Amino acid sequence: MTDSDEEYHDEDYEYEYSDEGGGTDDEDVSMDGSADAADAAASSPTKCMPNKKRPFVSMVDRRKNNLGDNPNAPPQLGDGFGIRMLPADELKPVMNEQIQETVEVLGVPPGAAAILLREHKWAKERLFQSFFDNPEKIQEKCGVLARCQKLGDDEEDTKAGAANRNTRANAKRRICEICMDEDCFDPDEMIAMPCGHEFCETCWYGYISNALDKGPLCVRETCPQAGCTELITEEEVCRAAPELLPKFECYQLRSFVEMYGMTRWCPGPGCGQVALACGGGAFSDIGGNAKCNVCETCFCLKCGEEPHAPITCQHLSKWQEKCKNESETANWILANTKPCPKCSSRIEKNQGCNHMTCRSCAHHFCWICMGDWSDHGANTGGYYKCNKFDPNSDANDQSDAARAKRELNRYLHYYKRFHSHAQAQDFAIKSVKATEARMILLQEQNSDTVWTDVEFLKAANRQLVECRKVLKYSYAFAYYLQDGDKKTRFEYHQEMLERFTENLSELSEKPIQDMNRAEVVNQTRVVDNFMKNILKYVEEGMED
Amino acid sequence: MSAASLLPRRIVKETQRLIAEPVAGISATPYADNLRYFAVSIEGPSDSPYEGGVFQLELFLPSDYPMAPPKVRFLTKIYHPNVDKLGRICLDILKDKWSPALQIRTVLLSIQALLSAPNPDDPLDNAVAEIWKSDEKEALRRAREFTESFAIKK
Repeated sequence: MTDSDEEYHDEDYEYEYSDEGGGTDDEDVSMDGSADAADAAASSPTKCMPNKKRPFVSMVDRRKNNLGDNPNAPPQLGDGFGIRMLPADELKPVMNEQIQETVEVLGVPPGAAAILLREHKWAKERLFQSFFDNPEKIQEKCGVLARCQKLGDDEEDTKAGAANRNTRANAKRRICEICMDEDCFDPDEMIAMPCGHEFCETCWYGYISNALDKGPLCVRETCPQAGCTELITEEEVCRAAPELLPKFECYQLRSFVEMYGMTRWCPGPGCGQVALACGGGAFSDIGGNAKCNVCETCFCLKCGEEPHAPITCQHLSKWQEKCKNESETANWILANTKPCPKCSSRIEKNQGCNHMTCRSCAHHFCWICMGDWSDHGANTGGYYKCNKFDPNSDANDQSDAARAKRELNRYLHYYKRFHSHAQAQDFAIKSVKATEARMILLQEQNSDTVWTDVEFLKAANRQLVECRKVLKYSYAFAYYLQDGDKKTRFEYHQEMLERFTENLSELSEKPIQDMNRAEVVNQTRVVDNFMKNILKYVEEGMED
Repeated sequence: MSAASLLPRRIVKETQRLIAEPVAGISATPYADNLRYFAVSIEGPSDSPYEGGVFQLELFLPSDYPMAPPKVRFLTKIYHPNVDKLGRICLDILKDKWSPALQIRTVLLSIQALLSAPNPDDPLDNAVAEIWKSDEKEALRRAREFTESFAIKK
């Protein structure tokens, strides 16, 4: 039970397809084909179902799988929390539910409830608490004071309300302070805000369409009156510019999705899907990754970046910030300079022979092998030639100035590896197409072979993408690890994973005639297990 | 003529009122060839280092005025923490606090008030604001010097 159970939870969004049987038939590693074909056949219905029948539910945080129960999760997730991928429109009921509950609890109009929630990042409990402490203060701060007070005054149609309040002036034509039209307006040509400021319909339309042109900020537009802080809502938009209402509501929904803790936009370019947590709390607490059912982008539910285990969201954003600030410099330095083997000043060689003299420490060395120049002579094939290579260049000195240099070199060390795995990951993603072509070739080689017999190639390719990704982030992770036993151990595992990954890469890229299916399948499985073990090891705090 | 007929009623009305009932110390006159473009002059308020000076500004009403704020700029050089070397003005109602219920008149009054009460905590010209905060006497001296040199006709 425990064994299969663990395999079950380890089931990741990337793997749901690749090797469904891997967990259950561990004993059956023999590659006679038939078992695998059955596996693949068995897994294909589960693969199709999420796309067609129900919103796709993806991976959940493994550690917390047993904490909650979610009836909406599809069967293959068992007792874990689910998330659902929905088109943004389908979140309207979710948003309205929150608004409705707030209306009932606080006794405020729906428009005000939506604003109050938004100003509290849709954290209902937090809103309720501060609201009950001092309702008027919160209402004023959020720009809904008049709207909330008004509900008590009269619950009639606002137009009639405005007219009632001005019974004395009822017959009098009003001036609109925006257009200052001399002919003035009939009271029913004016639209009033709950705060009592009224303007003519035409000016209202202009005001609202102008506000919408400002984009997402339009949901925080105030009353047109100078200095008035009351916010406009869909109520005013609906009366003054009904045809602009859908656009306004779209911005409201967008703002909801961005702020609500249980929703996250799919970060895929141009993708309008939203991940919704089904029970279990906010994404910032439960974490985990998701895969979009439309554009297939995978992302971290906490931060919206590509899944980035083993590094945490905080460290990832720190790392990205660092890379953004330094990467251009770093790239240039990496491409154009080498460190002096003695003092590790970065040196750019822009002309001349390979006999280098460091400007900082006057060390003489060879640009090709980085060795001492005094070693050069006949034994290297002549003074200005060098066939030596692979020096040990890491000589650290203790001076104060060298510290900054060492820190730069330390960063470059990790960045270089991070970057090269990122490139390898891109390459692996791009080669998925080529892999499919190879699969067709492989299948055609033997008329008995069916498609599922060659799917192992795709699985290997996917595994490579995954490994490159983990390796990439493992270098950002290691950059923030403190020196010590833990780091040494981690780097040992990292190195192993790197080796396994290179091995798999080599095996799966062999010419078709030399392709050894059993070997590739085995290596895929080994690498997969190894990678998962490293991630688990990190997750558990890297204790032995 | 055709330019005037295309001009929104509100702008026509504002212009008429600005000319008929001018505000003390402020004048604004539209250019004949572009009725959205105004030549403005503001007298430096008394008990300010700008006293005695007359400051020239330009004011332009963009096509979405009054939904969007007018664009205003000092043409006369002025030493003020909320005005930069190009004469651009840091004033909330010219930016996010703009309301279509405000008018040219109110904008110019606000600018005049800004001359009386500079706000070095929300500066546009950091160097000026720094001096204003650390050595107000010196700042006022320089502001007077600028007024003497650039805003007073001899």
